[in-house]
Amino acid sequence: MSRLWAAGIVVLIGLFLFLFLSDAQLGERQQVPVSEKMVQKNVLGTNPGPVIFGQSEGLEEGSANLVTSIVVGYRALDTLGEIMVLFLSALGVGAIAHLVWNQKLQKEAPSFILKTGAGIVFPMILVFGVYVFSHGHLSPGGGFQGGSILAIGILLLYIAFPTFELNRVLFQRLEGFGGVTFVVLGVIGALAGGAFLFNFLPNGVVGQLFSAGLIPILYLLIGLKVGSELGGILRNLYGGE
Amino acid sequence: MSGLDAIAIVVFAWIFLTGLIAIEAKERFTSVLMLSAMGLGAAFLFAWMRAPDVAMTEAVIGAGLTSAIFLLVLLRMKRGGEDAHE
Repeated sequence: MSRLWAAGIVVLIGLFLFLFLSDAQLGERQQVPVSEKMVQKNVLGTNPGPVIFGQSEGLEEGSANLVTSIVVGYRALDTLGEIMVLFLSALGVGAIAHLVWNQKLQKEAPSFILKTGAGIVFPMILVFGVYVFSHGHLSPGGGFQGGSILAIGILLLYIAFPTFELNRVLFQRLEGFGGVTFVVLGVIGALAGGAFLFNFLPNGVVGQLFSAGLIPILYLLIGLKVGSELGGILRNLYGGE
Repeated sequence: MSGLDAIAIVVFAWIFLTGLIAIEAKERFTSVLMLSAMGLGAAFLFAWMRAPDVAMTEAVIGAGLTSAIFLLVLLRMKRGGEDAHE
C-alpha cells in the first residue's frame, strides 16, 4: 500500500516539474523559446547605467561572480540535476559499502605531529570551507568547492584520531534538509515569480554579503548537502568494521 | 618566448610526465599518487587561464578527495595489489 502512495507522489512531482520546465508562465503560454531570448542578450542587459562594485543597486543578476550568476541564477535547474547525481552516487556507495568492509583496514597509531597538527588545522579548514560557500557570489568558489573542503576536514579527523566516528543520523538529516529545502525554495519561486527557482528575494547592492537575492541561500544549502554527503561517503569507506 | 610561456610549458610537461608514469607504473599506489600530481598541474593551468572556480574545484576534488577515496579502497585490498576475491 505504501508503494502506491510513493508511486503517486513521484508521479505528482514529475507532473509538477514537467509543467514548470517548459517555457510557460503560470497562466499563459509564450511562443518564444528560452534560447532565442538569450541569443540577443547583452551582459549589461537591462541594467540602468554602468555597473560599479559596491554601489550599483537593483541589477538583473545581483552577484559579482559571473560563474555563480550562471550556475545558480540562470541555470539553477542544472544545478539541481548535479545535486541529484551526487546524491545517487553517494547512495550507490552506501549500498555496496558492506562489500568493502570484508578486508579490515589496518589503522596505524598516528604520530605526535599528526595529532597536534590536526587539532590546530581542522578549525581553520572548517572556517575556510564555510567562507568559500558563503561568499560564493562575491569571490571565486561556491557551494561545491566549500562542501568539498568541509569533507576534507572530516577526512583529516578520520586520519588523525583512530576512535573518531561520524554521527550518521546528524549528517543524513543535514543532507536531506539541504536537498529538500532546495526544491521547496524552487517551488516557492515558481509560485511567486512564475518559473521554477525564480529569484524572488530582492537583489541588493552588488558586492555586499547580503545581496543577490536567493543565490547565497541556495549556495549555503548546496554546501551543507555536498559536505555531509562526501563525509558520508568517507565514513562508508573508512569506518565501520 | 616570455617567462610566463616557459612556466606554462613546464607545467604541460609535468602533466604529460605524471600521466605517463600513472599509466606505466607497476604498483597501483604509484598510479594514484601520480593522478593526484596531475590534478595539481591541471589546477595550476586552470588558474593561469583565469578560471579560478574551476581551479579550486579541480584542486579540492581532483587532487584531494578522489585520491583519498582511491587510496582508502586500495588499502582494503590484499597485499600485493591483487583484488579481494571472495
